[in-house]
Amino acid sequence: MAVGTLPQRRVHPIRSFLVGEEPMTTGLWGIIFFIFSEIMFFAGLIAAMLALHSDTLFWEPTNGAGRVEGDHLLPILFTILLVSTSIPMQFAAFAIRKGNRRAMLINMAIVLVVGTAFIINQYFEWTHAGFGISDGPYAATFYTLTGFHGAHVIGGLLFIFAQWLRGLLGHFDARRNTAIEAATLYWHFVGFVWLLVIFPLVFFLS
Amino acid sequence: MATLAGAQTTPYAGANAWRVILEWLTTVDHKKIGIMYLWTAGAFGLVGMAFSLVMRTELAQTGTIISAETYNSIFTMHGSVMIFLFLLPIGAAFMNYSMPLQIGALDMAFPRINALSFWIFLFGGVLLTLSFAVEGGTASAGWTAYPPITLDSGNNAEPPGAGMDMWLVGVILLGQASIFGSINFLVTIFKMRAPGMTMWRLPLFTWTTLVTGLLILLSTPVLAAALVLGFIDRNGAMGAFFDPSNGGQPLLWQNLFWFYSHPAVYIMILPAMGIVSDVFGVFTRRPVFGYRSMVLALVAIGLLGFIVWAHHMFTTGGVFLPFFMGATFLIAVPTGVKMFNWIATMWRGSNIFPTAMLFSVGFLMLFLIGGITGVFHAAVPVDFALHDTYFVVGHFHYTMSIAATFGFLAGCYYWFPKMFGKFMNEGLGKLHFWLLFIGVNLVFFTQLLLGLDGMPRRINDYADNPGWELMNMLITIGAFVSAAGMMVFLYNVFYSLKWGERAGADPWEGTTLEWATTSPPPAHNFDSLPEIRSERPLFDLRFGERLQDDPHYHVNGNGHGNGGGGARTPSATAREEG
Amino acid sequence: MTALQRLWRTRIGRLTLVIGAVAAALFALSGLVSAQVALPEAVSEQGDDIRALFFVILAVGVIVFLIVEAMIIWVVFRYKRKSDDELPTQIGHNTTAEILWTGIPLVIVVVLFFASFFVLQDVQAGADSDEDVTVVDVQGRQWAWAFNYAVPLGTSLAESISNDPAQTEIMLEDPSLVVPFMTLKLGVEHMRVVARTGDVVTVERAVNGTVPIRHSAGTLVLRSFNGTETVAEGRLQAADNTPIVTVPVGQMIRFNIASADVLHAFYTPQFLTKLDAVPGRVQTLWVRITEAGVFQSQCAEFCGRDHARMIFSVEAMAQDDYDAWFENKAGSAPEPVEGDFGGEQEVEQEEGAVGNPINGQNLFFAMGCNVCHGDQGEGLVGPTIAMTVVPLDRVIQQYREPLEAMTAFPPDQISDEEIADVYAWLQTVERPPVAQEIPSKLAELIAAGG
Repeated sequence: MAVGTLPQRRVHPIRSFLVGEEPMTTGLWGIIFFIFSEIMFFAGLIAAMLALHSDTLFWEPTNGAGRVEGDHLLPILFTILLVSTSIPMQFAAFAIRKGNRRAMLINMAIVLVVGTAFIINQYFEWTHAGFGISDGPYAATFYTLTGFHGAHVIGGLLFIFAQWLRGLLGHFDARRNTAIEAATLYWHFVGFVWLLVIFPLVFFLS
Repeated sequence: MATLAGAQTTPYAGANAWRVILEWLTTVDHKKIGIMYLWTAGAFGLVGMAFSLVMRTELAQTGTIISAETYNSIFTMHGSVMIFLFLLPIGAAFMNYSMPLQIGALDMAFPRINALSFWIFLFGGVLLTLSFAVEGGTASAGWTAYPPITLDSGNNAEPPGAGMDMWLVGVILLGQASIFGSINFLVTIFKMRAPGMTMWRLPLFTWTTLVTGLLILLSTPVLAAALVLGFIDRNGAMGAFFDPSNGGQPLLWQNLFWFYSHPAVYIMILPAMGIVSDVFGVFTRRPVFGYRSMVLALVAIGLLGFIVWAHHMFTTGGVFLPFFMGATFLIAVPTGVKMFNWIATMWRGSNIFPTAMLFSVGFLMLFLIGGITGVFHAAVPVDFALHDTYFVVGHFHYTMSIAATFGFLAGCYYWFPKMFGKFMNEGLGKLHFWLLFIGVNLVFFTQLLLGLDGMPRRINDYADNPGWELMNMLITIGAFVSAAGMMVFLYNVFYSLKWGERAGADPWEGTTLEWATTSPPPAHNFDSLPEIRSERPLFDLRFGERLQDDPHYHVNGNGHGNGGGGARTPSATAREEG
Repeated sequence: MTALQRLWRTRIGRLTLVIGAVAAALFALSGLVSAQVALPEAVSEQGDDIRALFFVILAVGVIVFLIVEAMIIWVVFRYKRKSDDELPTQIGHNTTAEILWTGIPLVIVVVLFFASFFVLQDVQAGADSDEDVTVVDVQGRQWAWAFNYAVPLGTSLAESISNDPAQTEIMLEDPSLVVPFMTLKLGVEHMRVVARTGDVVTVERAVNGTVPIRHSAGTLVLRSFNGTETVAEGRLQAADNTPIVTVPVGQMIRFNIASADVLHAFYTPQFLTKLDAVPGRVQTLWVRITEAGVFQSQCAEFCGRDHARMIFSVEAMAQDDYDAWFENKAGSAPEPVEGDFGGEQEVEQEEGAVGNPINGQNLFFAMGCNVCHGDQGEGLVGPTIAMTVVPLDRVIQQYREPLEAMTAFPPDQISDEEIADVYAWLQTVERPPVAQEIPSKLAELIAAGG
């Protein structure tokens, strides 16, 4: 039976946007379930932060350094940068779905550069925070949440870098691209979680 | 050369030991991984049982034999080992071994990640065990590890040592193994089913695997979050999360912990329920009654399991009582549905009672008591009286510990011929059943009575109130009777491995696909699959023609089930990996 | 009989029968025991309600158990395979039956839910606003209990205090005896002392001891008049030094339950209720006792090494006896009690620790730290700071910009080095038994007021 005679599957536009028209591979299913578990992990941490904030004896860092909210500019800038890297990452996925490996590599390179810059900025945020991890609930949640998020960004970057190298070696085409789709979904998740983390930490919880 | 070739095909026969060991260490075959889970979890279960015997010896009479510190360490490790290293992984053992066979898959969706899960689990278990060797000993704050007693900040008089950190890290690892395992189960069930195996044709054990997988996937990460916060609290944050002396909240831990650990009791009991369902289906020659309502009850238990966690915290004064009371009461309904469905399966059945079936009936009886005592705890005012007494201990052992263990033992007797090609000895099996059934009832029913009389749990010595010494002595006797039963089982396992009666491909007249292949199955599982037209493809094959005129017999080949995964062969999905 | 004989012929069968007989005997024994045990007879109104609810659930549970167990046994013995090729009915479901066994349990649990809900409301209702209430502040700690009572103010003072709850500042004749967190009682009104400035005492006012639940960092000392406070270490039996909380029969009692360190739970089996002592929280347990007597009680939430020995007694006596006891207790200075609340703690000089402890000790008294924290840093109004685990830099921060009610000490009053000296001294003092000096002062206060 020729492939052409199979009836065309109707694919929801959102699904088509995120993972393409092709049937989802086991790998893609796996990464989606994995992202669900990661969402629950961060949900636990963020719920802990909100619970602590709503009912704590004290919140501000106890060494009196004040929270990092004094300087909003850099956090906002890097938040925008990190979240907007979802766009080149998605373009990379679009490109490889059409078989355009060159465009994919360029877009992934943008993600790698901006993501690394984000991590470097996080390093400076940590070293300039002015309070230690033991200085009360705000301080402890600050380091825990940004730390775990940072670890996930680094993990994502390493994975993307590995796929980028594979791309250089000529891997991936219009059909064989699960790793790129997976990396894209994961990268969206990392950016989305950062929005959830940074806003409560910096803006809402006063 | 001839020997070597022979060794490759039958690794047990002539191969040298190193080859066999290396093969098992590097295997990615779901069956071998399942068997490794089985041995490891079984060994840990015996360790946990040994701990319980130490506790029972201490409690047999008033006065103390071992120090309070030792007792606290032992009961903590009894709980931790039994839950994290026995009940959870032994469920994973059967899910690993049987689920892919039941859906006609070649292997798990991610065989290498499956192996990784096992090795992470083993490493976490070893880490927990090694904590006996460090200064300060193991964690000794109970398996629930409620802070601030786990912390070395604030006013805790005797802060725990490195054993507590090893416990936290160990359980994080065990949780990670569970999460990887659950992703594997879910993707395997969704994507690897054989052609014709629609969702409504999944065997009930596979359904429980699916729901268990979802519970693990969504709840375990929250435990990981709690453990991570606990670890940071001990190592740097000085109690900023869980100790009020640095702004933390002790109840935050309890909320996060039980958000995992309540679903966890379903993670332990659901696979056992699945095994029991399959066993009933086989040994009654009837379809499991109300298959769809069984599945819906399963899903309902899973959903409700996520909104009842705070019923472990009724006496903390920090939870909204009516909501959690109502949700907890509701769980009795789907549980009752399952109970009645099982009984209805045996009703008018053509029942035989090999050991697997005995353990399944035992499961029903134990779970009935466990379920009814659960209702006492759901009623908040009564829970005020019973919380943290031996009534709770009796209740949860009846449900998630002993009923679950009976389910898993049923699974052992049921799938042993499939795994090793030999029957377990029936006589020894029946002796095992009676010893264990009598022993555990003596232990846990007496504990219920003791709890009513107000004896708190987790104490290493007790006042000589009237009747307490006698009841404690009865419990201790029961514990040793149960242990004797388990020794019979252990002997039976080794006896049957060596001298057991040979079993064919389908020794029980099974109904599900794992019986459609040889015992033990080949590495690629199946040479051919029968046509799948219902949740009992082998039953249809064997009795379908005879039952053609039976108006109640139908294969639900209605064609509009969820055929998505079934329409594609496993090899078709494997091709697209990139 | 033949089946038994057949069973007896095999070795395993004989073993099974013997074990079965022994087990049956044991069960009979446990049945005899169980005839004596059930939930204990309640000695409180709330307990009576809970016990009634328990029996409702027990009745339902036993009926359900018997029915379902009978069904299991019946299907097991009734339906056995008679021949190898027997095929039973293939009925796979029955909608009516399934709706029935979903619906009936649903109705049962809904009924039980409402029964439990109303009992819960009742148990937690507390006292009427015009009712006189005995307020006992309970503090659990590793491994002892402290019970403290509100101090009744003399009637002559009543005139200076209006009924207006907005009035939060009161004048007392000798306010120097008043310390923060102390509870004062005037008629049905309870006041928790917040602060004192000169002659003016600031209080939080509430009837029935319904002082707003406060969080406090560190050790929360709800210390006012010290009723009993004893260590239970090493003993299980009621002994001379078992902590006893004395309460009247008939009057509503409000236990304000707090913890000084880790989780504990206040559990008196005859009350048929318990409540956790959670560090950082003060929680309320309402009990109206109906019978005089001494009720053995103990901690019910695991709290470390000597959890099993953390017992106490509730002594309920008739109102007149209680009043006489209270008068007597409040009028005499209680004897100091020996005890070790912190467990043995080796004093370790940290390597590289800076500071001169001798200078620190002098400074500690010169700066008046002992006024709030006690002469050994054991904590009075302020938290216990002996052998504090708070790092030095945070301690310095606390001096400069205090978190709680502490006075700020700028660097011109005490330098960082001097704080380090105090810190060094604090590391050398053992955590002593809690000071017992306040009650005698309270006796004076009561005398002054009345």
